[in-house]
Amino acid sequence: MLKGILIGGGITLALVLGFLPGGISRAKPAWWRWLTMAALMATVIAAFGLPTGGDFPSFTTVTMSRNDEVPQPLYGTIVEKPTDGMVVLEDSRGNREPIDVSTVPEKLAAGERVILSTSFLRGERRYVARRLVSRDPIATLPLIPGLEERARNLYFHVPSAWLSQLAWFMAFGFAILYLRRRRPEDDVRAVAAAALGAIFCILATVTGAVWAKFNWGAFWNWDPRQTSIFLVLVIYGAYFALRSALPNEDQRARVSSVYLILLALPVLFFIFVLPRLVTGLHPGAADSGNIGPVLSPEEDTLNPTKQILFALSMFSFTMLFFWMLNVRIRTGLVELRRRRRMAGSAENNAMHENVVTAIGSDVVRLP
Amino acid sequence: MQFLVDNSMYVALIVATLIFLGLVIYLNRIDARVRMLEREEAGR
Repeated sequence: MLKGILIGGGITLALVLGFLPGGISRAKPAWWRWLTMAALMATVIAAFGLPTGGDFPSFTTVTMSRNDEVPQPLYGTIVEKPTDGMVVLEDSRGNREPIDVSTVPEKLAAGERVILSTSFLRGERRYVARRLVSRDPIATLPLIPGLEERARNLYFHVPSAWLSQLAWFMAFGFAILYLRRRRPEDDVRAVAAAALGAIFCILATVTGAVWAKFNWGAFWNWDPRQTSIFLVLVIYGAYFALRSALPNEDQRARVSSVYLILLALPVLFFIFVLPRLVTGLHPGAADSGNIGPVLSPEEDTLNPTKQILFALSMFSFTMLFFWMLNVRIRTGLVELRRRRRMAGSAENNAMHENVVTAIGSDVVRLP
Repeated sequence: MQFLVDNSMYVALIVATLIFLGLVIYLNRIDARVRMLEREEAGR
């Protein structure tokens, strides 16, 4: 419930703010731009600045799945300090284990909440802290076995993929408006949304490919969701190829608007339906047990700190999208008006020349 | 080198902050430029 309110609320607020102050084609007020910048910077700082702190079960799963003894972050409260080089740490689930802290230079006291970068020495079957990561952290991110620190990509990859869809549906809306009103301004808005959608689609593909390399071993695995984002990328590319192939402005706007409307359903299917119907590597695939950590109604699929951070990232990226869209539309409208003025003055000049030819230049020069 | 390895998340934080800061500064500049063009048009 809380997850739905947070994430849904973040997206809805951004959508309302994207449309409301002055509409989508007018300059946004300064407070709006400052809010977007602050939210975006807060997302980046929280996504990379919050430390990861695991409990003993997740720590064990992570260290057992690896063949080395690379330290992992352990988060808990020091409940006992039997000797100078030893502490007993209690994690959030109440598990307690002794940890050797003799190599940690900082002084640790009982009652402190700490994150210790710790190795589990398999031969000696004991925990050894390598360094103190954080003392009394404000908030921590969970240690997710299989993802670990790579989980931070969630706050950049998922919003990018979401925006590639939102952009198509905004372009779809403008295309319907164009076909109903036949105003070139609506075509300018549709192109602006589609151009941004293509950029965010590329960003989602790149961030996903990098994540896949470090999580699944290869940049590209032809996972159903990778295949579907590739198809959406091709659909975006075809839209711009189609536009560039039509020299007549009116025809270009009409045909590309029809294309945007016709392809809206396939785009929806490729992103939200297809990856859930077949088995794959992404969470939410047919064999993963739920429809994905974000959309699943179960609360525990996303830790509370991650829910807040994810809602913030969806809000800030959607606001960034609206800002970019706003600038792109206004630029397009300025260009359109300039073209119209130039066409108008060219028409006047042509008329003037016709008059000169018809009645003679001397007559025209007279006051 | 060990310092960078131990603090790799802070290195990522600084790089990401600079990228996004650059993006919003650039966006602000374009926004101001378009605003100026719109004002010029309105005063024409």
